[in-house]
Amino acid sequence: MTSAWMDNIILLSDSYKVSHWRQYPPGTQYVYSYFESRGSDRDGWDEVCFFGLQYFLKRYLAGVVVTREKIDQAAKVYAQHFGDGVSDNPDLFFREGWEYILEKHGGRLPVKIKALPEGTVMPNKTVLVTVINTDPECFWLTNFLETLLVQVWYPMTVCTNSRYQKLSIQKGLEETGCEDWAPPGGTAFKLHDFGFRGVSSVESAALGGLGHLVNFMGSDTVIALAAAQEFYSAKRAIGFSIPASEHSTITSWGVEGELDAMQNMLEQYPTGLVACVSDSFDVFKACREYWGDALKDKIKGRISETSFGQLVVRPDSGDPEETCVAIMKILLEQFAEDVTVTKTGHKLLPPYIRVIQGDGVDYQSIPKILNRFKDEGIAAANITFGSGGALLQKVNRDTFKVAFKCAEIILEGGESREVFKDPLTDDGKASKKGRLTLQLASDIPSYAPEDVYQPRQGPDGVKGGTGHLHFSPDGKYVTVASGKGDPEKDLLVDVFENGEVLKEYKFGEIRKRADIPNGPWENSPDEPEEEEPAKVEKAAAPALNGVKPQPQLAPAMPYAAMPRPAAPFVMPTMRSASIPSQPMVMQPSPVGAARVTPVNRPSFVAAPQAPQVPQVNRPPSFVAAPMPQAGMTQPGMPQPGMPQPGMTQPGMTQPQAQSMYVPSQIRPAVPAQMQIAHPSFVAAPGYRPSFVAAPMQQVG
Amino acid sequence: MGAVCGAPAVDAMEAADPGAVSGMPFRSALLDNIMLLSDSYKTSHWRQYPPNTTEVYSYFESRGGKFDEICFFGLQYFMKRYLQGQVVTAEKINAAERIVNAHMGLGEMKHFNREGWEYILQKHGGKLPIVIKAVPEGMVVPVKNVLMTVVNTDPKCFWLTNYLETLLVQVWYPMTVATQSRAQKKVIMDAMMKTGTDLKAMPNKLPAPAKLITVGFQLNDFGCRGVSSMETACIGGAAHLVNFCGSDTMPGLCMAVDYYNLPLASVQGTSVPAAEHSTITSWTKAGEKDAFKNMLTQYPEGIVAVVSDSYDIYNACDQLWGNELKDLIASRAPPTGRLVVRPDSGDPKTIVVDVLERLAKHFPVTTNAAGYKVLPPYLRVIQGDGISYESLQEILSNMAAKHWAAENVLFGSGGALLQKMDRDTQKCAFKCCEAVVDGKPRPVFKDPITDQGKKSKQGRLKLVRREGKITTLTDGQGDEKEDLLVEVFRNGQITKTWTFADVRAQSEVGLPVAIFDVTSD
Repeated sequence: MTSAWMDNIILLSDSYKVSHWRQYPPGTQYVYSYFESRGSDRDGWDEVCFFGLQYFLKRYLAGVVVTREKIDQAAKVYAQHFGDGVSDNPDLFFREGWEYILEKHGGRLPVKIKALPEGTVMPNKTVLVTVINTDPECFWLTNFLETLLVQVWYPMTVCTNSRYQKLSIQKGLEETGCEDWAPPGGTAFKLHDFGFRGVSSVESAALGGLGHLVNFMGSDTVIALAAAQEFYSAKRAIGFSIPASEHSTITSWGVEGELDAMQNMLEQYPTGLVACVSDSFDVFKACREYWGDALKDKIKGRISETSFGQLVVRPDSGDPEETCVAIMKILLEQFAEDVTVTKTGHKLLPPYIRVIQGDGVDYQSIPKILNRFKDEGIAAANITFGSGGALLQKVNRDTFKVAFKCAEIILEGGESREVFKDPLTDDGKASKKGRLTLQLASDIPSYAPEDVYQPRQGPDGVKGGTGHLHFSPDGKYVTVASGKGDPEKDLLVDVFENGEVLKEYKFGEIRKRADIPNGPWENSPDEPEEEEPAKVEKAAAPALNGVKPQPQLAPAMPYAAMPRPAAPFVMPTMRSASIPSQPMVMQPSPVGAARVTPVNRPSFVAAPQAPQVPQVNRPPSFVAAPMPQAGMTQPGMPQPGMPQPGMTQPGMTQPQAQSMYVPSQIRPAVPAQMQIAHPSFVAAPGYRPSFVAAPMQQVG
Repeated sequence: MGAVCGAPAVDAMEAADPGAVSGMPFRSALLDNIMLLSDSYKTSHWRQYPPNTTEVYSYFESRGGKFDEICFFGLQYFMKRYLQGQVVTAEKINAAERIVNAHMGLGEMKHFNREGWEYILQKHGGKLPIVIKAVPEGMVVPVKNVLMTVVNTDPKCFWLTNYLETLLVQVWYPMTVATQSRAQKKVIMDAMMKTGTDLKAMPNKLPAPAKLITVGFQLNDFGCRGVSSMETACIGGAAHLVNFCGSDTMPGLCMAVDYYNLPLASVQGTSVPAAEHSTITSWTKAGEKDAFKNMLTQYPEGIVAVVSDSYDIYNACDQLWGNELKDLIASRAPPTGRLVVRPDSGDPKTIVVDVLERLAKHFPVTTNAAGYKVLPPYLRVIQGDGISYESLQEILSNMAAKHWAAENVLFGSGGALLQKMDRDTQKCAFKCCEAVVDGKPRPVFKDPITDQGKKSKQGRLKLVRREGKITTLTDGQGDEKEDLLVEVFRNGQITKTWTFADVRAQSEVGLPVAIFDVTSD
């Protein structure tokens, strides 16, 4: 059962907002407000990664959002809600205002929203979003939308929280000799989202899960993948996971059966990665006696000339720092014969075994654990982290002191009036004044000292402070207030106007924008604006290995079939435009075929060669290496001159083949019969890096 | 709409002209797919149980935490929204398969359990073959007790029980909000009684026999913008309404109406007109008085709240409210005419008393029987900044120390009420405690040496009352008849529906005064 309430914009607000239309000064025609982070309550978190607005625009604001039925529904609720306890009070709700939007604007919201491009990293205390009404009759609408728009704090904060953890993992990897930065090495899979059950709702899981995926590729929050497809034009899975046990699947074998349960895990998943929770009773015994002895040969045997397998051991209790170190020491001892050493002298487990810590992981414990590793001579590449509540739930609007404030109104006759608050009782809550632009500091060639913003000096100082240039602490950016900025140089982009989403960001470009030095997407190409035409290999590839091609989900179907009690759902035209008229059929692509490459050797054997071609060679990592794909091209990469057996793809010219992303030639390959083409959930040409083997091509 | 629950009051409106709704905002069907509402790794678990497993029986508990007792709430929402009726269809299976198999592993094998889901579609018409038993919603239960059990009803679907863990564990959230909000209600009631308010004599907001003692407005929900999504606002907002009735979180109200049959009439008077900074600051600093006056004249009757700290809260209290607008305030018609002054910055502990003291200089203050000062009935203060379970106690005790009655101040809470909590606040966990393998039941538990607190219970569980205390029986002990757990879901049907009145009645057990229900008075 879904509730129509959730789709009624008139009800998606704080109650008191309903009363505000009577409260602005007479003659008010425009209300202009902005969204910013006023700082952070966590030390050193002085920048945010802006993300998530697009979800709210598409989900709640785009298209026809006001209907007669919704107005009636809201009127009824509000009359009761504001009643005096005995009788209804229909006078607070601004029925005429909503009727006007319905009649004059066809139910589309007459507001304009500008925002920083999603994925941009920006110092705190700068303007991130501005909102203004476009119809003078609807001056009251701007701040009615505050409640909903402020919820952007959440995906933005999760994204930034996750990004700060990426930076600390990066540091740990660098300090312990990691040389392999391209996915799946480097940070790409080092922090895995375990947060679905620990967030406050399914919708929050989708939003928070997306925020994390801006930075990483590992996630168990499946719903975020769906959201990426639906709201950020992701063409295929943008996050990955592996089979893994939970306590119930181990403990249901009985205390005496723990070893059998673990053996079953190795046998059920003979290749690939598999994670196994190992603390049901005694994690140290499990590491030493089960994994490190009884099952040792089985684990080692999962890597061979023809197959790659990696066991990931998961402790799940105890002090995270102590437990991780203790377990690493046991495993390094038990598998000593295959342990290698990084260039900094830190020990690295053989590629068939790794550890994942998924309990008590947060932005504070990660650096602690990795510092201990560094001191104990253990490479950070041995471990992956999983985080749930701390990643997706233990954040709040105060983490980045997010606020939405009115900065200007325009009165009848065109008089504009700067608006701000500056409470005597809290200096941190002063807001910016007038029309705002966000500009590069370098675009402000000269200014007088008094132009630089100075907050109110003491209780009797000038309210709202003086000066219009709010420089960011790093001096790179400036929020220009009081309408004195140059709109041409504004870093804020029009994203929404009068019911239409004007700018759509794709997940790939967001990731790239948010990436860190040596990050997974630093050198990835931008996603093409246009889809490559469905073409070429229509008939080329027969179904591989008996995998029957899956009929592509016709995108229009499920939406049309959605339960919508009130009215049939019709897709906004904005989306329809990009949807092929015919159902797509997925077929394995020749890229997939190219994956059936000559067999490579286990990567650990050749790992010492890594320094020769640092960007290409990769020490083993949590996730096995990706198979070569056309989409892996990394412009600007030095072209490896090493032999690349089997890397040339059919139909590609040699230079293309050389310039594309080349996984290590020492990578263990999955045997041909195991190479199942992935049914990627949306067919798309393989222009983007992905870990999904063989993207499907659409045939249309 | 599922077949079981009745038509919600508000949804039951006539559909509008379909032509009028083209270009509606985008609502994704993928987010309504039960097969995707789980952790990824759960898609792989069907291969991991012991051979010949036919039943997996799991339970949900609070393993301790901030509060010693919890107020159970929210399961009905999840069941109605995500579990009831036909939730598995061929389209959904296809959609889920594509996502799961693209997402899981390296393509070496397929993890999505297509056969399992197709079996549910064919054999059970897409309805989930499980039984859920749970504590009556609203009931207050000491921590470390079983609150919910789940078991599959079809031996072939042994893997389904724990597939649902991810979704069902999200009950931690409404339960934790309701628990904390209830604890705040106790704090407020306690402070009011100690500072001379006769709770039973407080005005009833609703016409008899309905009842709503105005204590229900002492803590108002300001959390909508501070939560992580609109769905969270729905769930958390409704959870607060279990204990109070003041709320600005409209989606929470809607959830209580839609999913718990809260009669629309009983949302009567649950919010008041109120200013925000923009509606004051847009009059400019020089125009603050005009903005205030406009509030009083626009809303000549009833309660109106005005944020007063835009520039200088002390000046606002002394000059504007206390002097220039004093007569306008005092003339608001009783009994409901009232201005509520809202400071919104500064140290909450001291600012409240500061504001009270300032107002006391200008307005006639009386002393109640217990010797505490009370503002005139047309004037109150609302503190809506920095309010949490902890700060609430500090403020109230500071007020009492300065001889101010608790009834002078209403509270509003946003982030602390609906967002600043997590699954660890009450250490919520869902664990398997029995499996049937080879036809034999087998107790199942975990007991990590690295954390004794994570030991789980084993065998079939019952929640019973023994010598007046609620306790959990393990290993199949006890009699079915004494089990406090109620079957609420079986094979796709909701078998017990709680109304919001039921929930509130349960939650008020143990409180000094019941504010909602005439029958329990």
